[in-house]
Amino acid sequence: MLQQFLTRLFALGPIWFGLLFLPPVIAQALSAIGVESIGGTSPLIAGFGLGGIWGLFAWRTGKWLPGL
Amino acid sequence: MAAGLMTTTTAPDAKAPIREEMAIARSHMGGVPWTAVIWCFANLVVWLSLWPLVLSGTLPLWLGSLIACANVALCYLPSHEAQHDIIGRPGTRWRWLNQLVGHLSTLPLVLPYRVARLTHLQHHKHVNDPALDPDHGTKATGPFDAVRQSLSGRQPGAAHGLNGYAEALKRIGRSDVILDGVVANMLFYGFLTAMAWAGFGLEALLLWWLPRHVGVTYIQFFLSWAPHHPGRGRNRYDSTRAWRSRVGNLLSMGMQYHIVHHLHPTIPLTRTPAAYREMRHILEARGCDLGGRD
Repeated sequence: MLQQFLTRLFALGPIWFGLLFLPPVIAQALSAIGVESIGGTSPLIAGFGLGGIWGLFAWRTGKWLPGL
Repeated sequence: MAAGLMTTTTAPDAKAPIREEMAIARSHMGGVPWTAVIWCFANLVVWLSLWPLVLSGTLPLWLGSLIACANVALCYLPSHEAQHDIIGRPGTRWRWLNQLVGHLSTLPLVLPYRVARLTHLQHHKHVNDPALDPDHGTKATGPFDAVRQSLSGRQPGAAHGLNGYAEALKRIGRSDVILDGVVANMLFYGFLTAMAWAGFGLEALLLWWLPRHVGVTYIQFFLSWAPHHPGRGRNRYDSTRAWRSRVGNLLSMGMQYHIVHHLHPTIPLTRTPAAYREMRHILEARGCDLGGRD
């Protein structure tokens, strides 16, 4: 039971990483270089977009970077 | 009869080289390798101190990140001494210190001691075996390919590299130890996420996440790929090698003499160069790949 739960949890690891860790990091990085908004959206929303798409890409392809 | 007796008494003793090799090896074993113990705690204290120093603005983040990369790269070898019971064998006075170093040293690497130890002992037992050596995934055609292999082994869909350790543990009937790795990774990513939402995402990224990737790459390059390259031999004297590192012995973390470690795993790291020099003629006679190493 626990093993099944953990296996499923870790199988979605890239998505968790993309949605839970990357958004605030991207927002912090954008703020650090003086970017207050991207196309009218806040850095955090931009972070969710970028992190979510990247995480989904890594989950689908099994790679964070193409060619590895 | 007389001819037979002559042959027996004048033939060279076939076991003399191994006896000499063992005698040399034994002379370098024993005692507590305090260098490794101090190395473990000093490295861990420096890495832990980076967090308050950087978060308080005392140390610039870029400098903290560079130091953290060095800390992660350096954290494995003290644990490696513990994995081979070099600091304290079971039942001896310093056993607790052996286990303490084993557990604490690789915290920055997020590699639990039991996972590291069991998979490493499998590496020794099955070195260069594509199916059974947990570190075989670091095999590569050259230095750049070694870095690429290391990075590819940490991708979500990879079955080799650190991702292959779970399979190795299942194979030896120690699936229970996989939980150590699961818990360590959950704590690691949980900590990163908590730091990010507290406003310290870049600090978490550059003091732990990125240094861990740099450190793992460095460790896999110098400890796994370089000393076993080309990774074809499966026998005692041809499964690993001595080699000459372009960055010297310190920056390659003593791995130029890795052949001695595989032959005699309980010789402490700091004594392998001396042991190598003393047994070099024996290794040469055995046809070992010494890479032009003196």
